[in-house]
Amino acid sequence: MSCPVSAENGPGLDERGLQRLSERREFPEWKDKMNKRKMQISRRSFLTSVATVGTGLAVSLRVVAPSATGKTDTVNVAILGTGTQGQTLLETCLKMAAVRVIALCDLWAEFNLKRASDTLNEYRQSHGTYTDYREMLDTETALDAVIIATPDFCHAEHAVACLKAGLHVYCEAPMSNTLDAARQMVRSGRESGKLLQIGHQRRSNPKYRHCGGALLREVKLLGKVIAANAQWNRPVQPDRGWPRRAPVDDATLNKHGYESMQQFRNWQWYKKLGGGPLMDLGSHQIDVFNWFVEALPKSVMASGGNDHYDPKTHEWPDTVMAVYEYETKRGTVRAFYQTVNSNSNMGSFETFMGDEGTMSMSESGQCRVYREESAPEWRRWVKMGLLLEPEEKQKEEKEKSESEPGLEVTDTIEPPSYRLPITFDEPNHKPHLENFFNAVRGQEQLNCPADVAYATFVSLLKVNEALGAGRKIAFKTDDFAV
Amino acid sequence: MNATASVWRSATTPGRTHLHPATMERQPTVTGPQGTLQGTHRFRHLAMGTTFEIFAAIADGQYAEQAAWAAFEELDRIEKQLSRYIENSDISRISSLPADQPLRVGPDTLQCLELSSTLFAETHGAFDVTVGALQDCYRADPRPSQKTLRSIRQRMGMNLVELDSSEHSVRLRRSPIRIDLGGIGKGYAVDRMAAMLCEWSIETALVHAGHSSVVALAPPRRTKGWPIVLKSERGAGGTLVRFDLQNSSVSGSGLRKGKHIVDPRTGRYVEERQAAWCRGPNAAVTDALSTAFMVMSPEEIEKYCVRHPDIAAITVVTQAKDGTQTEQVLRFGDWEGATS
Repeated sequence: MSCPVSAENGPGLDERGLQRLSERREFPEWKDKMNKRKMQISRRSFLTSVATVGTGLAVSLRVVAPSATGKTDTVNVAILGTGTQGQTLLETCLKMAAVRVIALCDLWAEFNLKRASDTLNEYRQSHGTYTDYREMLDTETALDAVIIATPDFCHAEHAVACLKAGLHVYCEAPMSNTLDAARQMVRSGRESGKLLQIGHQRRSNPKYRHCGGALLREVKLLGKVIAANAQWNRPVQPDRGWPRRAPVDDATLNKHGYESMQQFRNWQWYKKLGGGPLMDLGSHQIDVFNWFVEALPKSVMASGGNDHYDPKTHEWPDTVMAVYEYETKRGTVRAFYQTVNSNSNMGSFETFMGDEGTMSMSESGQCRVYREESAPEWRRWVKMGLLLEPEEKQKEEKEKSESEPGLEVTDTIEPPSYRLPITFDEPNHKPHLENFFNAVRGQEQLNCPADVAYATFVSLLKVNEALGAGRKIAFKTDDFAV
Repeated sequence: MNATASVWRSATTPGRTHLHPATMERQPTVTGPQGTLQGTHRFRHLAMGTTFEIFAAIADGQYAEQAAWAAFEELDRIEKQLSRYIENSDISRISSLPADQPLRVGPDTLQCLELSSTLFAETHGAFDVTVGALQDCYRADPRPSQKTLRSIRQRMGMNLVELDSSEHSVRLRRSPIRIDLGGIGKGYAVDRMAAMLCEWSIETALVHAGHSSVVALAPPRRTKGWPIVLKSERGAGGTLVRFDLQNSSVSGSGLRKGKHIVDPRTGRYVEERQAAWCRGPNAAVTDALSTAFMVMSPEEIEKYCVRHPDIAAITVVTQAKDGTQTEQVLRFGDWEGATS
């Protein structure tokens, strides 16, 4: 299939790994990449240093660093939707250089809007507050971009309006809750000529880029990939409530498509408003399937239902298990996905299994790679800086037995597990936002443009179709076309 | 929502809350006169390596549960900023920060560091969140050389951490500096959780972090406050003092089994002090001061409490005399209304 599975600049190596690879003769083409990357780094560190020179001034948040085109590098942003996710993105923006949040919009003025506004006030950052996004777009003429973190069913309306207003858009995942609306977003992005990045933030996470790019794609560390498995297990929880003194009035709720505060606060569970745990959580992880195997699924079958919550108030299934089949350049890959509301044990993770090893990743935890005993040595990848040396006691037994005659008997030696040479110490969403802002500045390509996210969205919606039909559903090539 | 969140409602009626650092590793127990606090709902959540609890006195149990969940979400959010065990928290980012390079941090981190800086000055270094390197050192080697200690102590002290409140940034004068908010973070989180409950109009409530830091809001109906008891591991009966807590906080610090506290001013283990408690206006302050009072001399604590009339303290000191160990309990500040 010719549909996009990864953005142009694709998953990448970290700098050190790239340096080492480029120095070796078998990877001469990486020298170019390395040089390009060096320029990006110096550019970025320039921005950082400029941004921090101003510390100490009472109001020094406006950072002016003219780019080659003469445009200032500070990106003026609005956040549309300041609930939990919007506030996370706001706090992340506040930790970034050359990004200025100048407007906030949320229909829940008494709570969501107030909390986000209080945070900006703490940073002494002047900003406009709005409950109507149209008014915000009319008033805030200095905006360059909008970050959208509203409920799924509003994404298309909000994204299209912002794009039409000539603004670049970063929109939370999943794209939408209907295929038509998602398609409208992709088209609107194309027509406007503005950027539309979808918030599948793992696409910019250096740990994931290293695993998917250098390890899986470039050096084929796992051999032939046979299977993938991703899960998100979370504990059951009460419905979201709201402070009694601060509800949104019924007229406002109705005007915006909600029947009640209960719906407004728990929109994820309602079919007309959200997409349930499959969309909320699965969209990020199934996106990793498509990205890492460099293909789009051929078919999917699924099982699921309301195993814990009342289907009257939780219209989407709380348990979903799905099996995808991919035809890749190197053979069939089967991928299992599970999202369960029971307890938090096991949490969330993604694993890929090949005939030479297994790779296990988690956004909030460590990534590790395990070598199959019969697989070729990985020492060369360690030497190249693609993997870290396994811990001392796990070192391969062979090394010891060669140096000294006789089998050493000790406590059980665990099979080696390799960690990544990457320390990721940024907030989770920062690299993806940074990629978006750098694209706005004309310095990078988007890591998750709308058409890439659309393919993921189509992959997800088919699970619901398979659940309804109770059988395996095949994807048609034109399913992914917009 | 964080995938590790968990909360449940219990029918147990809470009564007297033990604030008992010496036995914190045991299963926390809540006992007391049955019936006095009927209608109080109790919720628990694991975070920061301990169990946080909320007691909320309000008729609507479902509403209380939703408010508790909102408070626990706030707690999880704060942990992600403050924990040195989370690789992309603000505190971990500071640990890998080169000297003289400012780093923007979140509002929670800045507030904790600003308060830590104030208390570092007020306690003349007895409360010092830059002890991380010293703790790491003792973890690796219980008997470090004088040379090692000297070199570590050159990378300690809040005077090496510059805070810029207008930029919300942190700059290190020397690097690396290992910050550990273990002596203030739980208290800060408890304060924020109580603020969230107030935002939900739940004003009759108690929040605690693993029994070591407590915030009491308004007292339950027909009471003078939430009953608190401070106990010592040794001594007859063990109970040092009982009192009712409202609209203020209390925290405890102590030498639990296998736990050692290092005096940041000397780099040495605390030996003769068994436990210290602090009562004061909010849990961030009492959490930090109970840690400081573990290493400050009685004279220093006395002076501190005189200068700060809203602070009261109790410490337990053990002394070896003629082969037997005796325990001395010292009170500082205003404990009026407390019984033993």
